[in-house]
Amino acid sequence: MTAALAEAAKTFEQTLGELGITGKEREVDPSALGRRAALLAASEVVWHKHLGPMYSSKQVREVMGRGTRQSVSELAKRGRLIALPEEGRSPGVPRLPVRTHGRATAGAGADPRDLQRGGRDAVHGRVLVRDARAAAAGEDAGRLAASRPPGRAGARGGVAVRAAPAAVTLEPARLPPDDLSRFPAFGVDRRRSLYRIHRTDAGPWWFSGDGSGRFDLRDGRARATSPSRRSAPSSRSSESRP
Amino acid sequence: MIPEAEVEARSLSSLVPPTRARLADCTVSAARKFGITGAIHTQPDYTVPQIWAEAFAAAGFGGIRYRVSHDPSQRELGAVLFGDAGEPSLPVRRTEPIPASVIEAARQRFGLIVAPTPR
Repeated sequence: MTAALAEAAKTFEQTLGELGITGKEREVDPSALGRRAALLAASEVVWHKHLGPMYSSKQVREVMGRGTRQSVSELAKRGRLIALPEEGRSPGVPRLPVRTHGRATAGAGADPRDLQRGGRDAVHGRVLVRDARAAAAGEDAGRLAASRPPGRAGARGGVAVRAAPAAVTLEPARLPPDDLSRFPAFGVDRRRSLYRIHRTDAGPWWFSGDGSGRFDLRDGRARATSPSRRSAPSSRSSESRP
Repeated sequence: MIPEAEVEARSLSSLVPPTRARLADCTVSAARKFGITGAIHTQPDYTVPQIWAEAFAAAGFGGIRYRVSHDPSQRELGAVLFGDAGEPSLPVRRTEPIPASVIEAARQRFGLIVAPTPR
């Protein structure tokens, strides 16, 4: 432990003492308490390290080719733009790798005017699209993307970019044969529990048929999807109602 | 890193399959001879997986058993059920906030950290 962290731990202990927390309380889980305290105290530093350098509001407007400082702020408030507060400045927007018309653009070093020249389609929605194909080797292959609300001029439904490690695209799935009658089957009945993580403001059962799901049926029937046992929460949001 | 607000906005439900169903099992080796590879679980373009879904439905299957792409070890399994599009009224055993144990399991297994966002 560095001297700085030892000092932080000492101060943490002192502060708990001042709050009357001795560590002997039944409801105190020391590990959970320490983790929670660290996350709360370091969240700004952690998120900035995770997301990297930021665009200023002015640079975001250059990327979008429109808008005012207030409109950028409004987009952030509505959750359509990822923005983090910056010490003594307006909220910043992470510079994530983006892809413009099939051409990879470096994230942190990208000039917003280059993105604008490359075409607005790839940076519409929440402006930021994280694309594994545009990321440098070794970088996180995850993605962050969002669509404009439907009904807006120029809106396109669905996720702007779908990204995945390149290796899985080397052998894409083949088309099914005509006869699947002997395909392996797995039975489920009412005795089995299926688990689903879903938005609290939506019901757990939802059959999607809009093509946003991997196995959506497009003929009016649809599919509901559920992990067959408890799975971890995920940042992925490819379903229409995750 | 996962924003804490994204987790707080979600619940975990335990669901009861509405009927007895035969799922097309894409997780077993025997599916390979029909043309299934790992790509069905992971490829980013959904066109072909959706064609498979149509074919399974036409063949009388009630859904699909597959591997969840978020898990690089491919141990976590998912189940798809086919039904009419929309939000049906079907049995739910239990709905609860995402348990701390699930969040902790995600941290230990996948290194996913749920963190508050600065205000």
